[in-house]
Amino acid sequence: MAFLELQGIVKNFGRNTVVRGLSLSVEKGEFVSFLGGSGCGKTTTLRMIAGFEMPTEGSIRLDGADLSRVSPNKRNLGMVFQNYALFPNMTVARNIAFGLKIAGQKKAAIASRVEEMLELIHMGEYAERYPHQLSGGQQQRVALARALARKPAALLLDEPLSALDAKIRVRLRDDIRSIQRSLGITTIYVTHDQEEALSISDRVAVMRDGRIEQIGAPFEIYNAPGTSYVETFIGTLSVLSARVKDPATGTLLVAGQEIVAGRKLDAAVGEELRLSLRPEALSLDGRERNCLRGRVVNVKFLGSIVRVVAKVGDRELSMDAFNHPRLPPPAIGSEVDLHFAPEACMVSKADAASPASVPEEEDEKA
Amino acid sequence: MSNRRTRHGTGVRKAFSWLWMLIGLVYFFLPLAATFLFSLKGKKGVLSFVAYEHVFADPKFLKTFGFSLEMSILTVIVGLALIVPTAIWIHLKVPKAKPLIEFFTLLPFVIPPIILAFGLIRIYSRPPFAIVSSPLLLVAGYVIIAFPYIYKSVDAGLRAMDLRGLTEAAQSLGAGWLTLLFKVILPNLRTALLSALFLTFAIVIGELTLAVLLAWPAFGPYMALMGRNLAYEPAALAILSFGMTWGAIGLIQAVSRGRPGQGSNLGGTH
Ligand SMILES: Nc1ncnc2c1ncn2[C@@H]1O[C@H](COP(=O)(O)OP(=O)(O)OP(=O)(O)O)[C@@H](O)[C@H]1O
Ligand SMILES: [Mg+2]
Repeated sequence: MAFLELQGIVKNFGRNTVVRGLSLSVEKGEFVSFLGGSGCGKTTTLRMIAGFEMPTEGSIRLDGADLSRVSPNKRNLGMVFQNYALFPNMTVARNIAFGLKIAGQKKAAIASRVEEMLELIHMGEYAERYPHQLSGGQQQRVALARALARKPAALLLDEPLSALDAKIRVRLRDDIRSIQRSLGITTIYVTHDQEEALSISDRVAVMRDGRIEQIGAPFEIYNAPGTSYVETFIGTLSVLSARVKDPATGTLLVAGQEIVAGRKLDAAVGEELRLSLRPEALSLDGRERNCLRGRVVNVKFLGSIVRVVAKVGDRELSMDAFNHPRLPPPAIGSEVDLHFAPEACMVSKADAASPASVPEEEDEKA
Repeated sequence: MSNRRTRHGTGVRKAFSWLWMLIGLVYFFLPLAATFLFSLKGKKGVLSFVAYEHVFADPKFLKTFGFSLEMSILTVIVGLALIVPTAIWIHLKVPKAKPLIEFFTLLPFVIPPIILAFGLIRIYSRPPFAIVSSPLLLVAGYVIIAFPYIYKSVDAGLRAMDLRGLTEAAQSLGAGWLTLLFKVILPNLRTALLSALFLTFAIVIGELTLAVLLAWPAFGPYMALMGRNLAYEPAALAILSFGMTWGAIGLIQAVSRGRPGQGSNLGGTH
């Protein structure tokens, strides 16, 4: 049995069902992110784990024990909030010591633990400051130290970085991850920032409408999205319409041009399918097997990356290339050949959520 | 050109605002200055503090003032003990009830004290609540009169802090309700509690109607009596009570300007 187990969780607010049968197993020491659009129930689920909301149905078990009758202050879970929620009347040191005092620890033990935590967040010289004398990033570090000081069974974070500016956000998320790794603490991290979720998690749970659409390692979520929602939610994606020419060889026609999807397709000849391509899977040089010709309609310079948007048939196809000072991007209006590998093709039914291409492992077994 | 005109315009506007401020100040301070001057004329021909000496020499002054002080302390204690936890509870658990409470806070203004007094007398002068002769009844009345002021102060204090966030943070760190109240919420309500305290003092010290109707030797009735019978002493009294009120307000300002961390002294976080 996993360390943290959510089973068939349903949450109603009045007549409004916000979480609809959510189940999740988190192993000890694992870092799991809840990723999803606004209102999909991430915060509500996290608050049910913390005990601030009661599930309407379902059970939550932590380390084998049922939490449903345990009040929030007895769950021993560390919580970090979006707006820091530091106690404004206490110094940094006393904020961190708060939980330790309640736990009834000795003064000397508290002092050394506070010292240790300040060290961990690199804020030793700020011990006697008040929260209002700190920057947002520093406040969130203190909040993290405060939550971890008591050695909680698990750490829960609700969009801890979304109030900070971009640079601090990236630094602090790396810090959070390295602290989490060094302590080996089980962590649930709520965010609506996919880059954040993908970069720091062991597993990402993509949520939609009160359910987990897909859960898996970042690599898996990004490269093998299980549903069209996950596909479009994660990363940038160009969606083309493709007509099946030969399902056995995976041959498709896109705006009259022939490409191969590299695997057997579960579809009839002439059927209309969705072909999705990531911009980074395309290139201008001709080493890959597939090629689509299009007319450049837009070139966006994003710094290290140049995004070229080309029109293929009536759809737009985006391509990312690394910036190269000696290779200026193609001019708008010019014709380009966009090359990509058969494995880069994500093919799905035009309307349904399920992928139409047969997964490769099964292909091999067959 | 247009630049010059706008500068000219702001200049005129500035002069106007100064003029209005001056009128306001005169309106406010002229009667005060006149009263003060008048209070110094107790002795013919010279300015002296003889009226103030008379006031302090009157044993009734100290007695009634002491009584009202006692009443105000009791009112503050009872009022805060009743209203602060209620306000916190409403903010945390039943925020929907806020408009209802706001409506209740208007009632003491809408219902004149005389009706309150008669209501209190009617209910509490016969069993099972025959306490009309106890000063507790007066305190009960004062709590009702002070309720809007206490509630509004506490409400503003609670709105100014992230009550829900702090509560949940404290709970996730293992805090129970008492720790939460005394170490987190009250220290952060310090300014609000102080202003509730001083407002209540100011109201109760000079209160007239309830004290007269319930027949207590309070400071309000004493001042009224003096005003009817003497000339200079009431002016001195008015200046004195004015000074006390201003002192109280100054104290609120001074304390609330302190750093937030000093709140721990009140909340006893050590
Ligand atoms: N206390 C509540 N009472 C009623 N409805 C609520 C309550 N809390 C949340 N909801 C509703 O539940 C839904 C999910 O809310 P939740 O806060 O879990 O979303 P979220 O995934 O965290 O979104 P966001 O990214 O915007 O924070 C929303 O539609 C919200 O309006
Ligand atoms: Mg949320």
